[in-house]
Amino acid sequence: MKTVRRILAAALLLVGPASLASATLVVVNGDGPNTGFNENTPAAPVGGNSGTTVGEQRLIVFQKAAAIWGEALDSEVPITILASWANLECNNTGAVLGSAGPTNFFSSDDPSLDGGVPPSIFPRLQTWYVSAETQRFAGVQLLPGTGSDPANYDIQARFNTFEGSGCQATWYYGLDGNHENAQDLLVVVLHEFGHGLGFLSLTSNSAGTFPAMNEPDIWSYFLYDEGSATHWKDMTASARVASAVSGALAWDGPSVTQAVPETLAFPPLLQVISAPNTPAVVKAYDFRLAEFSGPIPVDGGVSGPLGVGSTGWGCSSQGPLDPLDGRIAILDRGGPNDAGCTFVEKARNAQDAGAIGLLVANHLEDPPLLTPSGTAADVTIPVLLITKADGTSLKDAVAAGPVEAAIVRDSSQGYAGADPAHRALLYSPTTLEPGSSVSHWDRTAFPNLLMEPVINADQAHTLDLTLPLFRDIGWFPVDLSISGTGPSSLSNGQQGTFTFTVTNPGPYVAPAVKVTSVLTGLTFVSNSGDCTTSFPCALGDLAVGQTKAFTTTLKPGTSSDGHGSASLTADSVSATRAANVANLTVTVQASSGGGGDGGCTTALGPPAPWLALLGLVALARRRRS
Amino acid sequence: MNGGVGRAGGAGAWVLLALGALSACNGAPEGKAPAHGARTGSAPVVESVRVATDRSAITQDAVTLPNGQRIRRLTLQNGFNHVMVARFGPDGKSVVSCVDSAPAAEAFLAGGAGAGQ
Repeated sequence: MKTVRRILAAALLLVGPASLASATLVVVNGDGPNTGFNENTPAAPVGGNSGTTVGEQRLIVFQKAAAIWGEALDSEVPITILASWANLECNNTGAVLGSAGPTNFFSSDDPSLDGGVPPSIFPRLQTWYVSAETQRFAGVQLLPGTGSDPANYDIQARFNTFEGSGCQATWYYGLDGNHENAQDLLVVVLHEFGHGLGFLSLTSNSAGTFPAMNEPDIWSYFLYDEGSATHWKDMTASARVASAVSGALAWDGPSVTQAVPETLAFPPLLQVISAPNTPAVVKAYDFRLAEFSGPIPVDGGVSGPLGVGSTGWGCSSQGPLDPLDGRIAILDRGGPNDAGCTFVEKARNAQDAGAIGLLVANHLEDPPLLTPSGTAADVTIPVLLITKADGTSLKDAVAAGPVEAAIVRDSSQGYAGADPAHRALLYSPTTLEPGSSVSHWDRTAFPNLLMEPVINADQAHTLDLTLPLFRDIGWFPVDLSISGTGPSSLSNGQQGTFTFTVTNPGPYVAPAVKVTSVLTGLTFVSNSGDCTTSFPCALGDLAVGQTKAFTTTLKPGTSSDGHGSASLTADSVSATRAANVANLTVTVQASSGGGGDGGCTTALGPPAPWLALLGLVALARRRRS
Repeated sequence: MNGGVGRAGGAGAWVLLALGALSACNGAPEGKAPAHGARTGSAPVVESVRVATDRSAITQDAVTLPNGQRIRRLTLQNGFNHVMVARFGPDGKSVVSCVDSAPAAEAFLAGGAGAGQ
């Protein structure tokens, strides 16, 4: 492998090194002379991008995205990306920024072949995986990564040069996220590479069918319909279509679920907390947070008296608002003429008047709420749309006396973008809303996630929940071994003490390891050591090479017929192969009144180890060097 | 295709071959899009998304690994794409969303009319 890496290192000097860390993503320049990556137009270095031509800066951004992914993934096989630029659609109303995706999926062949020798490379049989992940399983390159045919590469990507007449879009080539009103190319490329590496469902949007042979893709094991408590692979095609627009679709993968509390925050809450003259308004209110809203602090939020804007709508054409220092302002949607004014304009004017938050009262009853859109990096206060009826009620209350309100985060509703069981929600809007399919996190996630459908202005260059999802689908399968020793026979009423060790041989950290047991003819008494509860017992994370040990006390069960057995399984929330669980089985002779009943055909010798480490599945794996 | 593939040790050679071929990779994989002149409205963008996300040309074949194992392959030369689309507001500011179908793009582009104000 070192030889391969040396060759790659030399090669990448020519196309530009993407990453020589855990995985290598090779960005292949698919452009002709003086176009795209080869455009010679001079450019000043910007935001950490040292390129001196437009083309060079573009390539550096792609290589940065490849490096970020490469540091996070692990594969012996280079992941190839054919990338190019073109004058794609862009006009004064909208634009295609770029597109990307995998070109190949792989699945195991006839199960009778997979059951024999050699064993299947796939963690799950007859299941579709993207080529980059399949190559990681196989340890060999399945696609040549050469030529002009996109199908020869793991991922194809094509981005817009924005040369169209009237095109209003521009790229930001800096690496620091300081893109202001331009499109942050690095975020867009990171997102699109994510799809290419496996963040996507293969299920047909319109028909709900699987792509071929009626076999599921790996996503279908984890797409979880909350209403029916069923995974997509177990649903009918029509049920999957309905599930995709149910508004109740979640990712039921243990790694993501484990990561939700440390990744997501609680959802925002608008409530009136005090109104001495109008106590009926003291309650929580429905709202939609504006796309451009300033953040709602995770700790504390904002609170203060409500104040109705002096000009009603808060449009600039009406002149400045009277001071709203320290208040949460209320303004009406719309404006003094048919043209109205934008949510962004209202927000800026309220903020300039000193408001610490803004509630925009809808002027329409249908729809009662929608998401205020716009882009405004300079707006730092929370901006919410409330219903027309609530707006009227609150304005009346303010006219009657002081009203104190708060915009905070609500711990009682669980994490923003997850269900109560910490399953992260996927995007499944019940009506046509901005965005795309189930292959994205839900827009309610907070903080914003890379793989949400809408690229938020504050999106960081991080992979957040995407990596745990990749762990769930098998990018980082772990091995665990478990072994133990103890007495070979027990008398009735006698307790036996057994010692177990669980080891993670690597190459990955095994998160949230737990041990479960199946006892036959034996009764559990107690655990001690690293296992502090009865089974299932949580051992926590096991680093590479780490061992945890515990002692279990058992005794013959009342219904024992002279046989006893214990089977202990160590597993992790990380993806494991079907046969990657280490099982231990032993037969214990339970003497009856001082002698066995003859039920055991094999007499177990005294104090010999009665548990043996069973063979582990041989994974095609390597240790990080 | 129904043949064997090289070991990872061949990957480097393949990449080197790719380097030699880079200068021969003229233009975008599907040909360069025409200049769009003064086209306006969301329809051209939606049509671009429809083309980029079309999955009607999927093909299936098999590949044999060096260890003799046969695996099946789905190929879509155009790619199983997602498309990043921008919508411009009246103030020239944009909102960006990732879509995987023409209807999703249409819904997104139409969303700007009423939601911006």
